[in-house]
Amino acid sequence: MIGVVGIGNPLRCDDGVGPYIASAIDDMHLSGVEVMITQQLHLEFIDKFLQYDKVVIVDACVTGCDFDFYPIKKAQERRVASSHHLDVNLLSDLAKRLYGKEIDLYICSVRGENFEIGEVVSTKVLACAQKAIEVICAFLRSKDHA
Amino acid sequence: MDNQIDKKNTILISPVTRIEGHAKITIQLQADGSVSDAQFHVNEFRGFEKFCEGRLFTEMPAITPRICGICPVSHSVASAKACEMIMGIKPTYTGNLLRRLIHIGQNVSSHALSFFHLSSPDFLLGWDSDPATRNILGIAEKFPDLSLRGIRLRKFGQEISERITGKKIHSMGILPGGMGFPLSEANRKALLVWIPEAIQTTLMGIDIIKKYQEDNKEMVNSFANFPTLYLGTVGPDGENELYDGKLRFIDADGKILKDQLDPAKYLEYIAERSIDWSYLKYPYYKPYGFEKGFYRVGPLARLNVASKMKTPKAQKEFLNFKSMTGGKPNHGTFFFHYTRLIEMLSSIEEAEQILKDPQITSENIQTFGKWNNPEGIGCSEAPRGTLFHHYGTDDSGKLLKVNLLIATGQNNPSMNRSVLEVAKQYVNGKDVKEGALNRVEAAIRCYDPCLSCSTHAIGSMPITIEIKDHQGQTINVLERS
Repeated sequence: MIGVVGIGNPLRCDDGVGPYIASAIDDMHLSGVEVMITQQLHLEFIDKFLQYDKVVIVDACVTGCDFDFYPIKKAQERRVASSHHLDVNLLSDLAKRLYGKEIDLYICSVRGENFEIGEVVSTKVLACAQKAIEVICAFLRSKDHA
Repeated sequence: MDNQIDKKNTILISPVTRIEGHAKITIQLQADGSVSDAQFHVNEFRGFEKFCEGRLFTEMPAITPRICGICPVSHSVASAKACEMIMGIKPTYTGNLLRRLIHIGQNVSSHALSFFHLSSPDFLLGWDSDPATRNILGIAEKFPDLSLRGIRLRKFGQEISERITGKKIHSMGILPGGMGFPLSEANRKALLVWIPEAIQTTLMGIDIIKKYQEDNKEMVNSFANFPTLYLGTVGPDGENELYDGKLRFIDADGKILKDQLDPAKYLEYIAERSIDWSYLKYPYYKPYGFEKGFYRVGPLARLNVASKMKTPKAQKEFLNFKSMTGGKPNHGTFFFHYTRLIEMLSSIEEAEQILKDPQITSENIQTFGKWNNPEGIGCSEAPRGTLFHHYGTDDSGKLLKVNLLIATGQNNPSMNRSVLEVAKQYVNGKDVKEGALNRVEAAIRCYDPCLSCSTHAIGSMPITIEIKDHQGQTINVLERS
């Protein structure tokens, strides 16, 4: 089973691109794929993520390229934690330290342009979202995960 | 943490870790290097209220949870209550019970994260320990059992929401008139199973903080200890009441200023003033004026205003807390942690009582109504303090005016004062040790502020700490990454 996790707040314009992509994938009803949508990562998700063979986290980003898809091992080291934000690298580290297990994590990031309050995802970001959906679907359908 | 000193000799710490939002702390020094002033700035603009204008008021209980992923239930509850005032209806008994239960779940979840993962590194690993490991990972490394227990406690809180509404966050089931989903018998039993472990973990946390308080009396008692007024909601007998209480204000000596106030009258007692260096407003107790009227909300305030707790284990700890100051208000900012844990214990005990109420699985969960009044005000205690939602509508139910008075905004003056007090105690001169700045940050962490509620935030929490000399020149800047 592969988990696809859309992260973001649909009321913060481009921050909603993660949920947008995850919803689109959910609508495809792909076999062996479970979709989850959340405004932010939480510590207790570790348990859930460890139950998946792989986890694809789809999130908006504020810097970097327009669209990217990569395994977490190649991600930059950022370990931020606050009441309201848990960095995905930290989540991965905690899984290793607390449960002795690795989460096979992949990140799909789409760079947002506008994070103000609103419900509209920018046109350019939507175009990148379509590309992201194609790449994630190709990944989900690849033989490695059959 | 990057410690950078530029040509102007500026110290900048960015971000202040383990809280949320986007903010900056400025510490101003006198000629001799001692601290003369400190300010906690919030630099982002608040726009959610404007965004809601023009929408139907009935949409608000579903929209407002999006303000924050940590206290969505409090927003939804306050919003549903405001809608009920507009409609002139009351929720059903079971609808209220379910809302109360889901509200407890959020409180437990939020408090558990604050204590076990964000604040405990200071107590358990040391204020001056390596900042690279003085965090959640360091706790996981050295205290894996405690860390896991903290995660499970959060999971319990989130599971309450999930088992009632099917969602862990942004519960959509809270509606004007009650709830949209009943609780099944299977889910009721499943939640009850959690109670003993949740109580045990909370008691472990209480043991940790009490031992720390005992071993570090001088530091704990002097840490940002200053008198203020306090606001919290209480039940009819003055008991701690987070879901449906009336307002109680007390002064710094514990004298009750106003009691059993209908939250709908909040504007008669609370005013706000803008300040030029922060987008957060400065709320104050109106009868005392801006200079003397600042008050605190949140766990410390709630236990200071309460006459008692509702449950036996929490009452025992409450009596211990009260005995520390001879029954007078405890002004020590550090005691936010202890009171947070006492509240969490009370919440878990109350959850057990609710889950044993035979009516909790009733399907009579909602009353219905339509627009009847142009104005509605709702209130609930969010994990960080008293929350007000105030809506004005036209006769079609469209929102003309929205005012959200959130806990972090109300604590803003006190956070400033706390930063100043701690900076005065630990900062001297531009070359400040990281541990001292961690203490300044910790003063903010005591309040566990949610700046994304009060303003907005994207992702992590950038805060800058800037130190200025007596001529106003920035002399040191520290940043975290």
